[in-house]
Amino acid sequence: MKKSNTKVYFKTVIITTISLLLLLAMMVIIIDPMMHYHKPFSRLCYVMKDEFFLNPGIASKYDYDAIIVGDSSCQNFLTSIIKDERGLEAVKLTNTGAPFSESDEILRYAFKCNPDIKLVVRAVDSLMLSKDPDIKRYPKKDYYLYDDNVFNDVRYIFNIEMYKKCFTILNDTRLGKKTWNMDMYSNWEDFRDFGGYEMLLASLEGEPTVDYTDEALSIANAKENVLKNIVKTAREHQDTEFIVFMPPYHLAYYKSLLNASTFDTEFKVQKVAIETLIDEPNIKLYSFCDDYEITTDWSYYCDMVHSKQDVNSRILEMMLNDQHRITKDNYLDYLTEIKSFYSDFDYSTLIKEED
Amino acid sequence: MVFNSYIFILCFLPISLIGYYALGNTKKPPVYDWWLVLVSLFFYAFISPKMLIYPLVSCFINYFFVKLLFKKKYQKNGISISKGVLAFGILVNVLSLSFYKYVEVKSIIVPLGISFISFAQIAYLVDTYKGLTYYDSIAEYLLYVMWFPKVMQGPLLKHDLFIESLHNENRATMNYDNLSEGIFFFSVGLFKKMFIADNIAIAVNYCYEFSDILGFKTALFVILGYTLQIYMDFSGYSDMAFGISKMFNIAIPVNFNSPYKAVSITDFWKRWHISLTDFLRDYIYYPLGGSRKGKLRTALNIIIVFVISGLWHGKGLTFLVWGLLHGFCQVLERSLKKVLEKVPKLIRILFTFVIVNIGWVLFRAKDLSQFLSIITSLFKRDNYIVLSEGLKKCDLLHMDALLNRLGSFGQLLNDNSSLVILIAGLLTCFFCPNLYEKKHKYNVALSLVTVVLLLLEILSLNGAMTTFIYFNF
Repeated sequence: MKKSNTKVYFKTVIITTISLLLLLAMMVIIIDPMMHYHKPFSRLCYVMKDEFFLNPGIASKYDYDAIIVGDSSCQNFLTSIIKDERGLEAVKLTNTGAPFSESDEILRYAFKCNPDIKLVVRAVDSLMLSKDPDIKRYPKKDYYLYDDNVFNDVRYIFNIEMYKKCFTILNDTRLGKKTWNMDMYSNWEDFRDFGGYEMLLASLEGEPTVDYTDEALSIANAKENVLKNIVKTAREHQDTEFIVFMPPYHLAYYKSLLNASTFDTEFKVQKVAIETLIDEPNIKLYSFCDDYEITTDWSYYCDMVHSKQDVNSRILEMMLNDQHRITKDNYLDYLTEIKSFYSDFDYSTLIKEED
Repeated sequence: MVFNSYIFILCFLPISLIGYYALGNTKKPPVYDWWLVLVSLFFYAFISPKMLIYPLVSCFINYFFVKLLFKKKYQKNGISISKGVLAFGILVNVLSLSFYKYVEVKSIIVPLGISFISFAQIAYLVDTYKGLTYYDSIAEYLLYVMWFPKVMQGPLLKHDLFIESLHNENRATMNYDNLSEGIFFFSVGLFKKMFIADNIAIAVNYCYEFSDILGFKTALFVILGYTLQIYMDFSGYSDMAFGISKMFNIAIPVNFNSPYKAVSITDFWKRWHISLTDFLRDYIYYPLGGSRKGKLRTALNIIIVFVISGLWHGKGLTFLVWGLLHGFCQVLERSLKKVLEKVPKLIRILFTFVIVNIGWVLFRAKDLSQFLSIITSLFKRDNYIVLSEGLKKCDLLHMDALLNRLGSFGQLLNDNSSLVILIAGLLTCFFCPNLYEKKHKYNVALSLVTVVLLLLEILSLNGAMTTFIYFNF
């Protein structure tokens, strides 16, 4: 090999690579698909997907005074209802399958960015309640958008996935599309089928979606989860109102618990969660497990725990109007009542005669 | 620190190189030697400074033995004492290696690359005893053991080759031939690691979770998949290590030479992890008597060497059986040499490849029952859910969205992405010339290829930063 060749080769490789890297980094910094550096440009159509990575951007760059945080049970909420009922601008910081620890993480980040949050709406759903309170679905390295550390931003600005997003943003903008508003963000109603009879049958005969095999651990986890991932943050922000709710699962969920002989555990877990939350002055607890109009109507559901946007809107309105509140005075009656309703229910009436 | 990380590529390597060549201007080797020691120790201890305790203590103890051996060498009647020092030095290294590798103590972290650190020092002691080493400074000794491109996964250095590089007067002067070769090898090695080894690993790991319900096609896929994974993982590392070292004008040996083209297991070990084979030959096989003490003893020596090789790779019965398999195959090949020579080369290559594959199943399996489960799956019907899921686990250079737009053909490629990687990878192993054999023309085309590779790699690092298989050894 000639010396001059290798000199040209080496310099070409280094200069071209560095120049292209800088160009690509500039593209990410300017378009900023995850809203890490600036507010989204109104003329561009942002891709409102990948909630885990987008939520910190929403939390730090949007103007808001209320937050909806949680898993799939919160994704179909309409923030416009909060605006109508309370006059508060709300954002959703929801994420599919988010355990309590993850919801708490983004909520804490939001409080750091915006200490004047007036209202927080979040779920305390059985699906997540008895899970490990410290569970992390994402490795530590993926939290690079959850801080102001410029060094770990290399993961953002030198990231091929972000370039793909930039190109999608530019293409969608060219096609005249608009950035989803907060009502549409993370809303999954249009992507699921509701009221499917086959699914109902499968749900009635199937395994529960929660694992209560170790009852003592489930109860201990529920208490720790609520204390660590809900109560602790609420205590640190006494001026913020926390609306915490138990979503209405379809009665097929309770049937599946009966199938697995873990029916009683569900109510022990709910009891410990209620008792841990109920004394907090800035937490208002609501439950819709006793809204039988919803929980007995399969047409609202795509599976035993996921319901339509209509259900979310209805329960949000009720919560904002202080209906279905669980208090120290009524929680034992509430638990006795729902337990007897779901244990005594004649589940065979849900099955069509020809089956 | 790992090579496939932002910190390494964007900070550590450029700063180390700039510092090295800047200090090179001083024309004082101790200055830039200590710079290299410093960056090597930083590289090793990046996760935690505590990681440095073992290698530093070990290096200083061994260096003390080396000094003793030198001292005795200059005395007329010092031979017997030298033997004692050598034996004690080897014993200390073997015991510490065995302790960390085979005694499970929860609070103790096994030092990274401990096998390589120990073997390198044993080799140095033996070479010093034989009078083959120079009177090296502590900085040179530390570099020999801790030189960052090779400290975690080798190759195991030959003292003479390495120290010769260190003693080169122009070592710290920029050499574009070496810089170019270095960056090219690095980019190719990183590609092997990130886009082939790590990619196929996702599919292989997925299928291994269902090892008890696999069928013929899935088992075949998983066996070949791991065979490709381990080769690309380790040879990718070796290419990177070679390339990085080259950028500093320091030579480290070639560790792979198209191993899957081997015509026998004996030939395989001349092509796979060559530096380990050399070490085992020079420091275990020859001292045991090699092939000089009759056929039976030769066979026994080979078995001993490969049992040690197996146990060096890991604890557990699977590694022992893996070592025995390779040992017995070589004994058999020795005794049937004349017959085997008459067998067509293609058949010998295929037969060797089958044995190597069986060996890798042992290597990958968590225990012997999982090994048997995978092997017996070759005679069972397939679980098509596992197969179809496994086949689409890989990422084809981030082109999934683009391929989906290509219609049914694109969809077909996406649904069989793992198979595409596997076939392309194996074809490369069998039909492409070795990277080290080929004379590369450093022209515009190659610079474009290098730029594309580097960009693709750097921009994919966020999802990468996995460790290497040989990190465990």
